[in-house]
Amino acid sequence: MITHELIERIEGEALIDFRTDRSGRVQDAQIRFLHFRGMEAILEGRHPLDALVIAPRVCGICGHSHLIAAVEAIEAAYRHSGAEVKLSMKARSIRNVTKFSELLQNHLKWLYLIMLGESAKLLREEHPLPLKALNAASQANRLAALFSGQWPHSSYALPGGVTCDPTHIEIMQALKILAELERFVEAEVLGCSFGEFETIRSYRDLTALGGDFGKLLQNVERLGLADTGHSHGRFLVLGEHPGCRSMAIDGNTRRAADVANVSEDASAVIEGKTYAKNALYEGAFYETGPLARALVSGRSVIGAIHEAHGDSASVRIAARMDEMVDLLKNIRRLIETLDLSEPSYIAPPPIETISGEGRGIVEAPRGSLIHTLRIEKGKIIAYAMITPTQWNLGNGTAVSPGVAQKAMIGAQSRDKASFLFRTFDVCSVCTTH
Amino acid sequence: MAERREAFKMLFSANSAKVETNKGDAYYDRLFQQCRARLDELKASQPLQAIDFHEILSDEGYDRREFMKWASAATAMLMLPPMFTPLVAEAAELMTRVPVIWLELQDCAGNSEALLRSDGPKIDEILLDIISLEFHETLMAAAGHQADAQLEDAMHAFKGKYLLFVEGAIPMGMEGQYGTIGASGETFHEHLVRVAADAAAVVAVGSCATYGGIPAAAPNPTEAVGVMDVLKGKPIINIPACPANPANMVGVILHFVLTGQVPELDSLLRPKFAFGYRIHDNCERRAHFDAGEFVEEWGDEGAKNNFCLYKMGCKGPMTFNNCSIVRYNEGVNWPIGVGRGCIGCSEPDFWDKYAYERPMSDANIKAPTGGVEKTVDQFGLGVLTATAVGIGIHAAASAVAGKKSDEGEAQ
Repeated sequence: MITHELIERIEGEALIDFRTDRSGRVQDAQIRFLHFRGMEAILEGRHPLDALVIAPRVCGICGHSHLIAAVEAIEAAYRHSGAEVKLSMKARSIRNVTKFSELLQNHLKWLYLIMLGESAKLLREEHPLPLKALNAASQANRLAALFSGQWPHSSYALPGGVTCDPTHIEIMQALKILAELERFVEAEVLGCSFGEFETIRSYRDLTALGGDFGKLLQNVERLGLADTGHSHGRFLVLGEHPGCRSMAIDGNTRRAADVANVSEDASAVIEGKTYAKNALYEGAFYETGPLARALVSGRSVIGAIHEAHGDSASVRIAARMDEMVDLLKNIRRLIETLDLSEPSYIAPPPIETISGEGRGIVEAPRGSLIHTLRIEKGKIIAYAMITPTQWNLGNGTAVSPGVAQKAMIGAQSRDKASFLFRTFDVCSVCTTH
Repeated sequence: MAERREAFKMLFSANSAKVETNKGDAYYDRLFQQCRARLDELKASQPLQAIDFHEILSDEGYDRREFMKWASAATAMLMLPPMFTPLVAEAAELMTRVPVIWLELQDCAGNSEALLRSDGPKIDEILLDIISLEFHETLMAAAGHQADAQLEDAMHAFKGKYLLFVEGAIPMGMEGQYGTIGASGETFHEHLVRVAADAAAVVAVGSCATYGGIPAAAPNPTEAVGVMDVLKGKPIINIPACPANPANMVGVILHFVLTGQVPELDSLLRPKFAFGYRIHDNCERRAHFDAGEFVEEWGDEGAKNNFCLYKMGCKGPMTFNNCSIVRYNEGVNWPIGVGRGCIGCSEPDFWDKYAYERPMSDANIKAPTGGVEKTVDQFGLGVLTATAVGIGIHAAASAVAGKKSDEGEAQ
């Protein structure tokens, strides 16, 4: 039986065509995205710095990652054309603080606005929209806005640095907001201190946590989904991330990843099924995002659980939650070591003199984001983006399914499959752009 | 928080910030009676949700005094005289009685994201949590077919009474196939027309819904347009900007609850209380503009000293909006605060005309003169945003005008 299932409460909406057997078990799931804007075409022919205004607007929830990818792509084009572009440590750190804040707010919203609510619904339990979570996510946005001016959609980064020039007052404000966020994650998300969290080594101990993170894992367990949602076991990290190098993992083999092996497949778009192109590494579907990052960086608790449970729904959830702690730690380190006497911005040569190609790769909330552009004398000739959800939500066939597709196949019902789909942190506007 | 609210009120009621909306005592007395009657009528109606507003307030740590301070700031923002403060407070308590339906079309969800963290006083946040959001893809509990049913139910139950918020542009190319909704494949255009039919008023939120936004940027691949380009015979309120400031979304709802009417609008259908003056008029760097102190290059001494960003392409003098007062993210900052200049995101065609690396001072137009308090209707439209402005012509205009990257903004 074929059923169209609408997936909302994401950024935009997706349609899944489920093929189920008589018992309702999912045999195949075709993922379709039915909304397109043509952002790449809009960028072509423009002044390169326009990308810093337009590219962030691909997505209202990870626009900042798009900004950083765009500015890094332009900087790479400078270098490609033989021109020097320098960045101070300070500018680099500030870009990372705002980027990590964006990841943090994304994970908070995914946990509270999507996952806790959806799991409660499947269990037929009440889950009111928690004000406390909105407030915490807002604090993460405030932290970003202190340096970037506003969130969503800031454009404060430029080739050569950032426009903000924070003083000790902003640093104090940032540390105050950060402390609030740390308190929230300890008290509400984890239900224990960071110190205690770091001693956890087993999945059992994670599910026993008293906070909302533990509650979500318990819900997943009660739904019988903890050990489901297995995919290909192939992971990819292409951007730089704390403790994390560009790497591809396929089962037990790990190797340095080369972005030259990335390709796009537009056949489903051409057939008119969807507006999302598939992103492939060495011609195969790879999972990107927090779980890939945790495995590459070797964050101990996730590594151990993955060893025992494989790439299941619960491990995927655990990786996103664990990353919150990691992000908070890194934001604190970056702010505390910021040298305010360094320049925020070092002027590169005028962009009108630049002809070259460049690529910016960023580890965005949902995985590896790639912007590639070619500039001819200060004009964008070509602009291409590959977004995180293109990797995870690719539309393969029943024989060779995409990452999320494979995770859904075998689910007991469409509802449960839709829930597994959401464990990938679905984003429609990013996928099609 | 309390100090900020006071500052907020002072800014909104300062002479420089005001659009001249004083219509005399007789007018306000009449309006007061009208609002009184409207609120009494709402009070007699059934609440859509069983919520004790004051209990929620006190749970969140606000007492009555705090709440009244918020109400007086909100009254100032709506440009009403202080005598309306108790009515605004009552309207806030009655916000649950006005149903809101929120549609996402060709968007990035940035306005929904902004809505989740409405500006400044946290009371706004509480209000947003309790307004009767009968349908919102991201925020509501229902999903999929259940959500479809919920939308139908809400449209039926609140026929003629709901406020319809629209986020995102409407793609008209390829017979609307660039954006479809649901299993039935209804186009965004069909969907909008159908849901708008029984709305009391339609609020276009963000630059995509108002003027087509980024999707309508040249070459406008999907032939995107704004709500007012395709919807006729309905009161429409535009709240442009990318993203729209949540304070203005709350303001519009509050005004509707209070008066049962749309607020006073300018020729681009924007509420005058929010778009009656320019960013420049209340900018924190304004004194440097007046003193002729400018940032000349990114990262120079002027930049370190927070000089005016006009020569770096700031569009504050051409951009009508209240962000220099409201700011963003609970007032923590705004683009000018990080030395980046305004990109004019609440103006029509900002994507083709206002990208910030093209300084307006180099363009063949004059700096605004003749008094900075003039409103968009008196000033600016014809001079500053010359070619492609006008209701109903955005898509065609951006396709024809092409990308104006090097030509400046001259007429």
